[in-house]
Order: sequence, then C-alpha cells, then structure tokens
Amino acid sequence: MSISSQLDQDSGQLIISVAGRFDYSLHRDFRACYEHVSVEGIQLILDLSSADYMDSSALGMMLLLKEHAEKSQALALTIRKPSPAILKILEIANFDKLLKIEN
Amino acid sequence: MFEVDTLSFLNKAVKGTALVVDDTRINRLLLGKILGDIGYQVVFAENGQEAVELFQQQDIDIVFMDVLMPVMDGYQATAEIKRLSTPKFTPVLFVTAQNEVDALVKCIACGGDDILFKPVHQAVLKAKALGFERTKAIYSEISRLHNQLQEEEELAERVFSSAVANSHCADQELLVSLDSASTFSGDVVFAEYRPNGDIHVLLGDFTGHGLRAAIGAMPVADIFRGMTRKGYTGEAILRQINRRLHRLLPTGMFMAGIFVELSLQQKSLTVWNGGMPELVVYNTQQQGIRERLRSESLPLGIQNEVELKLKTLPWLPYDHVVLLSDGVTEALSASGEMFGEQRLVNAIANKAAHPSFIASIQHELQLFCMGTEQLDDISMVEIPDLLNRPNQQSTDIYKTGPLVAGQWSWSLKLDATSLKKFTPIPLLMTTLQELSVHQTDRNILFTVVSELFNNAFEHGVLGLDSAIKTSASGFEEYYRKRKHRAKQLTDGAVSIAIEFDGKQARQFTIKVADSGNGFEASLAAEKSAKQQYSGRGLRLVESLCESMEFNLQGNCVTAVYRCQH
Repeated sequence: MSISSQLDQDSGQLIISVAGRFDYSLHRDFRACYEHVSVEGIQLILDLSSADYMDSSALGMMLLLKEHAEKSQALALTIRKPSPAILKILEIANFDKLLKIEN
Repeated sequence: MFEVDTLSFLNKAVKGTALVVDDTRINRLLLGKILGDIGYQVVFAENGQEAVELFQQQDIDIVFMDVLMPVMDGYQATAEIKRLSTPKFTPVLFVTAQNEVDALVKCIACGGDDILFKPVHQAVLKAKALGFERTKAIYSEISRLHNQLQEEEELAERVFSSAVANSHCADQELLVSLDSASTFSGDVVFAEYRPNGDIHVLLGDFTGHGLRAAIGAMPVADIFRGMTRKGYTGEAILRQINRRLHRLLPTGMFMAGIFVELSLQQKSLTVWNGGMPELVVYNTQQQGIRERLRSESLPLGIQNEVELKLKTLPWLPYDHVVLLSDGVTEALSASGEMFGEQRLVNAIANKAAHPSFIASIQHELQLFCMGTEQLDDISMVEIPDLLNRPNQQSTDIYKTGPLVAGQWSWSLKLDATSLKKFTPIPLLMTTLQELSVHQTDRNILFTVVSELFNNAFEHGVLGLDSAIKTSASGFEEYYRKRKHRAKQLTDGAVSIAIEFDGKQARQFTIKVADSGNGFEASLAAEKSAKQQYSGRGLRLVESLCESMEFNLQGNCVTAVYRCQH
C-alpha cells in the first residue's frame, strides 16, 4: 500500500501517509482516507516523509484536502516532512504560501 | 423454481459456427453430432494446421480443440488462432481425456479459454457454450464503447484544435514544440500581437493531462487573444484568466504557466512565472545563460485573486528565450531516472550542433529516454533573436476597412486612485474600433497614445527619471521603482483628449496632460528639447505624427496624427 491513514482520537490527529510516487493513480484511495471520516476539531496531517515524487495532480489532491479541512472544520492541514525533491515542487508551485509545511 | 430456471437456460439456442479439431474421425463425429443438436453449424479440421487455415477462411465463433495431433498440436494451433482473432474474442475450448495438472495449465497458458473432459456431456457443453456467448457479448460491447469513445475523442480533438491549438496568430515568430502524452494535451501555447506589434506569449500547463486537462484551455484562449488584441497588459490578462479559471475549474485543477510580453519598442521582456520550470534567456553573443526566471507566483485558478509577480528586464540583441513545461525535466529514462536540470543546461550549452535550442533539447531527451513511454506532456517554446531580424509583420497584419468621416472627440481624466486601478488604452481601442477607424491607424494611435500616457504617468505623476533605464541593472531598478511608487500613489492625475476631424484634415489631435512638474522650462523652450525627450517612446511618437509639441512647462503634450486610410 502506498497510501495509508490513521485516525488518533486521543491526540486529535488524522495522519495520511503517502509512500513512493504521489500521482493521479492514488486519487481514489487518497479521497477515501478522509471523505467518510469525521474530522471536526481534528488536525489533518499529510505525511510525505516516504514519498519520493509528486506531480501536479498531487498538488490538486492537496488542494482538495485543504478544501475538505476548511469545509468540515478540521483544525489545520499540515504537510509533514516532504523530501527535498517534493519540497522543490511545492516551492515551484508556490504552495508553501498556501499550506503549512513542517520539516 | 431453481430447476425451472436451469431448464429455461438450457433451452436457449446457441448460435454461430463451431470448429471441431481432432485427428480421430469418431471423436469428430461424436462432438459434431452434439454441437449440431444444440444449434451450431459445424466445420471440421483433422489437425492444428488445417484448423488455422480454416479459421482464416471462415467466420468461426467457437473452437473445440484436441490436444495431441500430428502436423501441429492443439497448443500451437490455439496460440495461432488467438493471435489471428484479436481484437475479436473467439473462445477456444480444449477437449481432452487427460487430467494431469501440467497439461491442463498448459491449455490455458497457450491462450485456451476452458477445458472439457471426454466423454463430453451434452448439457455441460451447452452450458459452457452459452456462458461464452455471454462473455462474447460483453467483449463486443466493450469494443463498441471503446470505438465510440475514440471517435468522440477524435471529434473533440478536432474542435479543440481549431479553437485552441492551430491558431496562434503570432506563432510564425516563435518555435513551438508540443508533444502530448495522449490525444489531448494539457499544455497549451498561445501567441498574439498587441496593436503596437508587441507579442504576448503564454505557455500553460493544466493539472494532469488528456480531456480533463484540456477543458480549461478554451476560455484561456479566448481571454488571451481578445484582451491582447485590444491592447491590455499582461497583468490584466492574467488576472482575468485567473478569475475565469477559478470560477470554471473544480478544486484541485489549475493552470501553471509562463507569460512573456516582448516589447519591440521598449526593448523589454516582461515575464510572469506561476508554477513552471525556470524561463531561460540565453545570449548567443555572451555564449551563456543571461537570466533565469524562477516561479514566483501561484498557478492560476486556485484563488479568486492572486498576487502576480511580473518582472521586466531589458531585451538584448542575440537573446533567445526558452520556455518549458515540467514534462522536459521530469521525463524518465528506461531505468526510471529523471532527465533533470543538469542535462537541460547541457543541452542548452550544446546548441551549436543544432538548428535551435528546442532541437538540441529534443535530441538530448531522445537519447536519454530511449523510447520509454511518455508520461506527461512535453512542451517547449523558443523565442529566437527577433531584435536582429528585420521586422516584416507590421505591414502584414494590417487589413483594409471602410473609411471614416465625421467629427468626434473623446476624453478621460484619471485621478490617483483611478490610475492605480485602470489602464485607459484598451477602452480607447474599443472606441476606435466601434468608430470604424482603420486598423493601421488604430495600431499607430495605440502606440502614440500608450507612449504619451506612459510618459505622463511614469515621469509626470510618478516622477521617475528614465535616465536610470540606460543600464541593464538600472532597467530593473526602474521597473521596481515604478511598481513601488504606483502602489504608494496618493496624488496626481492624467488626462487624455482625442479629437478627430474626418471632414477637413482627416486628422487626430491627441492631447495628454499630467499633474507633474514637466520638463524644465528652459529646456522645453529650446528647439533642442527634442533630444531631451525621455526615452525612445517620444521619439517614436514624433516619427509617427505630423507634429508633437510640449507646453512651456513640459507637462502637456499635443500630437497631431494624420490618417493614412
């Protein structure tokens, strides 16, 4: 599985982790990670520490997740530990101005 | 109940022609009799070779294959028949007395669809045959839908091409290479002239590729072309595209892009890069990359209002500008490695061996990818050294139109708040078009009025000194200051008045005044004041007009332009 999610009610976090190539082929699984989960008051974390490549569809999926977080009153969306290659793509698209990125 | 269903299923008729392949006569007769009884037309072959030949000659719907035969066995014949029947589905059923695991697996592995054991039971055979008819129906439905989809996609592609791809007006000036990963490219290239001959170029890359990615391209094409022709600036056009895409595209879809305005008169390049790889300016005289313009803005369509960071730099002779989509640096080799920036820089440096930078990059890419499947659209635009080329387009693009008569006047005064928000030139251009002013005259008036307006705004209202622009670093400094001061502006005004006399002199009188201090009176009073006019802009205006005069203070200019048509 190159995508997995873990909801921790105690810490109030939903962590979605993507490994390997983050592209359009994951969009269904990616959406399934948060669509039917109640995330109100929960912190959303997209963990990219194991992802090594990302395309523009992945950027689009991040925007969808951000929109979902805002609509369903989740606490915040944080992109965690992107690799240098992924961080570069985020910076080229200037997504660092749009999303919280933590290393 | 169950029994009734089973019976009604077995009472259905099977259809079509069955081919029975067996080297034993009695087996052929037995199987032929059963197949005939349940509704098949039956044809026979004595070995694999004969079966293949018969299959090529006749329409066969289902094949019953023995395993061991002389000349050609059942495995070989099945492989051959399966090869011949693609893309149609023709079921091949092995009929065998063997039930060793190896033999059974081999029957399916060579392309067979099922196995029947001797002696063959009529009801079992019929049930299997009916089952395969079902599979065949699904098969042909899929193939029909696939063809339909392809036809529709081809039709859409033709509509799309005529609206988007094949009509860049200014593309004879550029080298363009669009290599899409599927029928529809998610990358688009547009190029169009402004009324004064400046060129706007836009390379856009929509999220993903294929039809999904192409839907945003049509509105972008319309806005880009329409607004450029009316004389809007890059910033206004990009804002409008952003707003439209934000409204049109679902969340998660957007357009990364590079926009370039090439001003032949100002000798300047204005660049916006939102989410694309670096734009490269290579100077063949300096033999090196002179500028790299990184992405500094968000792509378009994500937010309703977006901060656009446009950068203006001098355009030098021998400059070649290269725009690329990320499909270039992200192209994969057979071993899964990415093309990357270093190879790109090398390809640019090795241009000498090729007719263009694009050709050099394509050559490198081809060597690197070695026929690996292309995953993303690969697009490149090269703006060659236009400044060292005689400019022929100025006469080509003008068309003839009806003559104008009558008299009219048009005037507009903008205060500081309005000047921050509004560029009056496109509005004037629309007016001139509505009044049937000939395109040649319109284009010249565009140049005259925009030069005079920019002069009044930049020097008069913003108090910028164009002497800064003489060096390359000063050039950038000038545009930085212009932006900064325009943002801070609280005071000042510019007024434009145009009078047309179509009855007598057939001439336009253009008067542009600003609230600034103007030239020093002593300079303006002298005839040599012409040499002091700021920049090339005013010299150009003077060369296009019958007359051009400043008032004593130097903050009001009157130019007279006589119609050519």
